[in-house]
Amino acid sequence: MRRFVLLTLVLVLKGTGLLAQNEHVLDSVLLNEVVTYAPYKKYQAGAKLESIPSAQIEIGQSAGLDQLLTRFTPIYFKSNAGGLSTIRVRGTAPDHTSVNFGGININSLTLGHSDFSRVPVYLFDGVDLQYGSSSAVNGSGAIGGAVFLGLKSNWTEGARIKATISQGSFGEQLYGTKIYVGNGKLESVTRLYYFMLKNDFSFTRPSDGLEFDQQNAMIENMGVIQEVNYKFSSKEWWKTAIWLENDWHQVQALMSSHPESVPNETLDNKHIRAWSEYENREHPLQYKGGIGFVHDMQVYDANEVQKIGTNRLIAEFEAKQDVHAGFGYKFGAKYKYIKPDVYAYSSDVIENEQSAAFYLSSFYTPLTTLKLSLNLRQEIVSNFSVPFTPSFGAEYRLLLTNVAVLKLTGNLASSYRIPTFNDRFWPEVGNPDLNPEKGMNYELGLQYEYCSSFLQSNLKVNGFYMDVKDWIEWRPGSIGWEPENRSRVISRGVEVQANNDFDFRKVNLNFRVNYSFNPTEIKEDQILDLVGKELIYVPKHVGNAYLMAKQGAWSTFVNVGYTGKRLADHSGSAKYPDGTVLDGYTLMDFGLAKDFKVKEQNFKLSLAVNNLPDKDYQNQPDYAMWRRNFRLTLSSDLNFNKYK
Amino acid sequence: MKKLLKLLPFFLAAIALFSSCSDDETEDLFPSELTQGAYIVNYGGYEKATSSITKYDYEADKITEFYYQLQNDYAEITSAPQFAYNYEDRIYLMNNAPDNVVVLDPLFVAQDTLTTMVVKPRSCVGYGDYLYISCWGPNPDWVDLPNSYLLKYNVISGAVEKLALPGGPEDLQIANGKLYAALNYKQAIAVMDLSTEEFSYISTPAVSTSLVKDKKGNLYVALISSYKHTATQTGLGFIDTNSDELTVYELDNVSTSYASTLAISKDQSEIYVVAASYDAEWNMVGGVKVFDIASKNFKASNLVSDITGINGVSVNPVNGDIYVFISNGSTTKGNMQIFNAEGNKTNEKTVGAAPALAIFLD
Repeated sequence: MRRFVLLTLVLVLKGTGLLAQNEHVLDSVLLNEVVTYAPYKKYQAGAKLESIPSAQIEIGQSAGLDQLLTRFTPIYFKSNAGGLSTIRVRGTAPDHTSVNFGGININSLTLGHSDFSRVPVYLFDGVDLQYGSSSAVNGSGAIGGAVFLGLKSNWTEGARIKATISQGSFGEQLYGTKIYVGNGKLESVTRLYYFMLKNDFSFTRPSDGLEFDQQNAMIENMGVIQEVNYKFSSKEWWKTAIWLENDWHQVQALMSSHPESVPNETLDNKHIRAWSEYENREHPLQYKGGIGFVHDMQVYDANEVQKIGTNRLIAEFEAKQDVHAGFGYKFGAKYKYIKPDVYAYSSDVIENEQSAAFYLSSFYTPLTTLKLSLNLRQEIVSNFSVPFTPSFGAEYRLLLTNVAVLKLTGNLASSYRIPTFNDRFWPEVGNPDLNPEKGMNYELGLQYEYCSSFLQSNLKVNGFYMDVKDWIEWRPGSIGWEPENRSRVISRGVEVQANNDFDFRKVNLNFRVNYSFNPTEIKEDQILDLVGKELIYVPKHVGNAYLMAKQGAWSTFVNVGYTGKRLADHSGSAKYPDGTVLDGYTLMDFGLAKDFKVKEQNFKLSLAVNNLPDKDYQNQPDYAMWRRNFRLTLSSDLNFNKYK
Repeated sequence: MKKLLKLLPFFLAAIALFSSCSDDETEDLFPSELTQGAYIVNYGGYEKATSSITKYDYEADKITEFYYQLQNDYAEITSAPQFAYNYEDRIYLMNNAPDNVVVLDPLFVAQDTLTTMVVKPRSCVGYGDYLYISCWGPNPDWVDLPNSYLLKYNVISGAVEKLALPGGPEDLQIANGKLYAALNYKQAIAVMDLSTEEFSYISTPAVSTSLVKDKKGNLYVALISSYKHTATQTGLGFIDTNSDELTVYELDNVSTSYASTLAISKDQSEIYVVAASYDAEWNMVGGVKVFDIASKNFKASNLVSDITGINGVSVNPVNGDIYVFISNGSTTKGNMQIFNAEGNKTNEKTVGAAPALAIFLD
């Protein structure tokens, strides 16, 4: 109950804007409560971080993380209809966004990135985003951004069972349950889900206007996260989470292959991700230590001979101290032992790899209106050289009234990415002498918060300039396709995000707007024709708006998203000789939900209509996308807690 | 005589009728001034829809990008063309993902699409009424390719027949009544007797890709390294098609590209081989090695060196010019460097993404 009161208090305080003056309280309480493994904001003044609201997570719980972020953030995903979806934060490549679960970056060590369509929203309580470089905090790969997948600690006393059944168009089914059992000190949380999508939607082929049913695009994913948590005291606990994931899908057939040449290729991915962490806050010098294990395995077309996998052991120790309210520091070290299991690698070339990262972070508030932060990181990798990575941030409060706060924020952050195992060790063409990619991110923002009895508003405007050197690409080399440090890329732009809560006659309205303007430029390249051109699959304009209304047990939402024109290649076509341009598109979703009780237990029935205008569009050339589709979801929250 | 004069219109009509079935009609439909040129096949990328055909009118020194699209009402080549072949006034594109064989007329206007039994088509060769198409088949293990085959396609009736050929057949050539298939997943050249359709094999020290034929009917084959089938020797193989004996002329770092990596000069004196070598700073750089057929040696100086992204080479059979194809990636335009028969660079053109080979129409 105390926890509930505390959370409520935090939310109320946040709403009234008072926390703007005491952000370290917000950082250390809210984030640790909602996202167990993401206590990262406190030491990154001026960095742009965002939490996806729980109401939006609930709307997106039946799908992959890509669909959630596409709808509710200004981030573009290059995707097809559920089979492969890769993130592009601020014009960077998929390898340039780290995806963190506990102390684990779940990005593939062989490919370098994650398929966001296979990160199930259902399993997580919180999703946080960091825009811009953060390698000094999050390590290799966090050049464009970082995503944090969070689990909420409940310290259940009794039992609680949540269950969700969802049925949708094109044979979509989701079955999920979350089972919480505990005595207030020892807690077990089991989260299970099964997702299936036949994906036999119909599409009209643009080249000839013929209509077909999509073939060979089926998806079947399942996963479980088992948590075991023990609380020694309110300031000392041990938490363990094991995430098992088994994802299978058919590689979506192209529109042009229908109806006679439809291939049937499959991808099977299995993952074991485990993270166990002990944390002690009893003393002024607080500390925590964690260990983890990751097993990733991908099999293409059921060909067991050609496995592509890695095994990782991770250990991390961190200590921190808030010397006083205006100054604190933390330091730590992270060790990784990686053993690849890739059919093509020779053990003469790569048997294993070890790395150790050492970091120091601090914040300092020299004035009541000014907060500064500094992060330093040096990673050491066996047989590879990694640059020293600092970042510096500042927040300055320009205005404070009873109802409004205006802040100026700024951040300078260097970043790096160690080349993937494939980049370095693929037979014959891998290059162990590749340089790490290096980025520099400059960020300047304004944040305005307003709070009155009927309106709480938050407006952020951020400008950024990112310079990434030694960008690695696989291109034809001397005897075949080879990875090379080829390009220098500039990505810059402006992001605007607004979040408004209105209370109007028992109706609560939440209105959010996101917009990103993101031109990119290839500044240097060995291919001179590319210099001065924009990157492919980076729309200049991405925006969305979300409106939710809630009255009593009823709630409804509508969201509209716009994805602007983008280049699909630099090679062009007869229509676009300088590069194929994909048309922009606007999509609209609508939902309606009702909460109700049965024997004092909570239930919710919701209906969602996606792509309401039945828009025919392509995210990638020749890949059909879903037209109008429906989803009906029944959720229950059976709470047998001692304290509800 | 009067009777004969009365019959004159009939004779004239008969002459007109019979003459309409001659080659002249093809000539009329596809006059040389419209068709003559080099057609560069730009592979693009697997499932990337960036493939294209670039027409190069070498007489007028004129490039026409996206020629296929312009000739087909802006329709894109949605599959990546692995190979192109001109046979009996038809051009055949071996396309991958989706897999098919597209049949074009000499103006590159699509006439037909063959999909029956076509799975991962690689190359083809024509003989009589048949086109033999090498296919890697479904569910490849990428080790031995046990399910690969030749597809025997009757260009008249359209009938197809599968001839099992494990080992990943790549380039095909016909010589001395036999079909030769370079195998990319087996250290051998498959030899099929065209009358019996029975296979025999010539052992090779490495897997192979490109095959070219000289005017005597003997073959040259590119022997390349492979991490699944470790080579004991790489280089240029010579096959005497009378004895089916192989002679290997060793050369390191022969290109593993599936583009046209071998070409024979117009005067049949040299073989051009796409291969890499180390520069003064020990960086591996691509180039075109020249094999002198008379002396059976590689020349000390390359036709061209220090080219990153070199992908293939073709020889213009009309003027002997050598076209070297440079790929800048699957989504970026490529380049074609042009050398005269003496090996002097005379021109350079921008072509489509990942240029792989050229076919020549007259």
